[in-house]
Amino acid sequence: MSWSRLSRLLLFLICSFWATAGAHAFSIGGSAGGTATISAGQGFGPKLQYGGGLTLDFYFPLTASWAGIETSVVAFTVQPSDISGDFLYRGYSGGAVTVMGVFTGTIAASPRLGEIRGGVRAGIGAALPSYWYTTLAFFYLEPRVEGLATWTPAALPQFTFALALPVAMQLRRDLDYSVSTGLSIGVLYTVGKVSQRQ
Amino acid sequence: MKTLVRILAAAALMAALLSCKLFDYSNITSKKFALVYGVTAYVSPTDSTYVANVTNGTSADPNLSYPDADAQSLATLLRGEGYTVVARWVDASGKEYLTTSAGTPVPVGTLSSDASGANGPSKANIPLDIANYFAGVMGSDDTFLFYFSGHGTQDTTSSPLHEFFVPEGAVQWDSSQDEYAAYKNDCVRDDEMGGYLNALKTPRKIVVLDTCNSGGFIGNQLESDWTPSDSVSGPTFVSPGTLIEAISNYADMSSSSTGLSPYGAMVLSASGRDESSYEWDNWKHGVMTYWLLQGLEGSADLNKDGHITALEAFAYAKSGVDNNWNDTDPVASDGTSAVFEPHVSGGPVDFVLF
Repeated sequence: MSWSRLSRLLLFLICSFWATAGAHAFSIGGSAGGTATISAGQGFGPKLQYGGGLTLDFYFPLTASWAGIETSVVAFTVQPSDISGDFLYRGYSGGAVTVMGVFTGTIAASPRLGEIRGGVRAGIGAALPSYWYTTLAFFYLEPRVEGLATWTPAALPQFTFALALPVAMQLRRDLDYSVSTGLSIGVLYTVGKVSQRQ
Repeated sequence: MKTLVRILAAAALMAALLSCKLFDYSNITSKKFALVYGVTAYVSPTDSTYVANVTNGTSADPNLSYPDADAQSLATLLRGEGYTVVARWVDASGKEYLTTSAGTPVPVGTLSSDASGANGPSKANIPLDIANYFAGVMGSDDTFLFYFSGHGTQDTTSSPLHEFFVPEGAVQWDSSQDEYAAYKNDCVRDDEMGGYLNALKTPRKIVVLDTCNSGGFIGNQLESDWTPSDSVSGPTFVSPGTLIEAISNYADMSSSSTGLSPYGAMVLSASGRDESSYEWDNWKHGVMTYWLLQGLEGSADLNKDGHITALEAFAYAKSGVDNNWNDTDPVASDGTSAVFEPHVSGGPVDFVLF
């Protein structure tokens, strides 16, 4: 399948969900975040690598108002580590898809300020990055857990602003371990029934 | 609201911790060593049968023009950057040279067709040089670079394919073919090179090959390279096939049973596994080596941090080959396209050259 076909398929899916929004009451949004990754390779010690990414999120509420499924398409980059000791971990950039369960509860609600909810997201991602300066692509799976806080302003009930603290483990077979954490902020726009948003 | 404040405080603490240099290895001193080989003349130009056959066009001239210049220039550059360098080369007249710590080339003999008896860049001398000059003095944090410029070849009869570089003494007259040919027992096979490097304790090994078919020395286990092994048909881009191969490699981590594992050595190759590389009179070097040398003189410091890593050097050399050679639609002496693409090993680690 070519990239043009893939992009057309993605556009079709987005439009399909948009057209049937009343039934799904799904949310669409985006987020941006920074990460710090601790990587350790065979025969080399651990080092830090900083990175960041942009995410396109689709949130689908389940029957209960406190649970939902979120799928995301991510474009990300991880910088090379420092060069102390005359070695470094390579930088890489690429794309990923994630599927996560979302579980939240109300922390505070006010008719004037809106609703603040807290909870967690947990799931798995699949990444296909390539190393900087090369044409070498590689694949890995990435279980992740995120602490989540959201705010839905009373004045803008269709919008939910989210702050997340993700912790992810990159199951890379070429490293002894690779763990990342960071901070991301984002916004979701709910199409349909606003009572069922996260 | 209290929970939100706690989350934000934890995030701020985490950011503060991560901004520190928790994993600083600046107390480690990595000494640098290099073994540099180049073979320009493979057989004696005075061989009467050879001269007759080259003259009447029934035999190809196995000699090259610039591997000795490649080896000398790289050895000089690395020595100037603090490397301990041992270099052997054979020049166009068939003289063998050796340079060690002093840096002055010393004539050590004349071209030999006997790989085991040669004093120059022969197959037998690679493990001997590693044992005599490097294995005893190198520590586990030191960096070793091996460079070879000369012919390379591929054994198309083996499965899986094996690639070779062709040191002194490995090209001989083959009477059955009425042609000079690379004798594979005297060539260095991809996995044999890996065996030689095992004598070194350090995991920081870099192999640079300016030869035909040198991409076959890359034994990636996890990565999928979307630059084809024969780039004459033009570059390709990320495709579903790339994804499928990457997932398949992730599942078994054993996609390459030949070549050097990226965990054994990082390989920078002039060409892909199934293609030739070239030298050019205008640059008086191998094409890839010319741009590698240009980069190592400073231009390859791509992130301007005052250091050049092996991956930066590769990226600069590849860009030089692409923009100054491939873009001119070069044609080989036999009329075929002379386009080729440098390749590099995968693996998560990169090394600082200087």
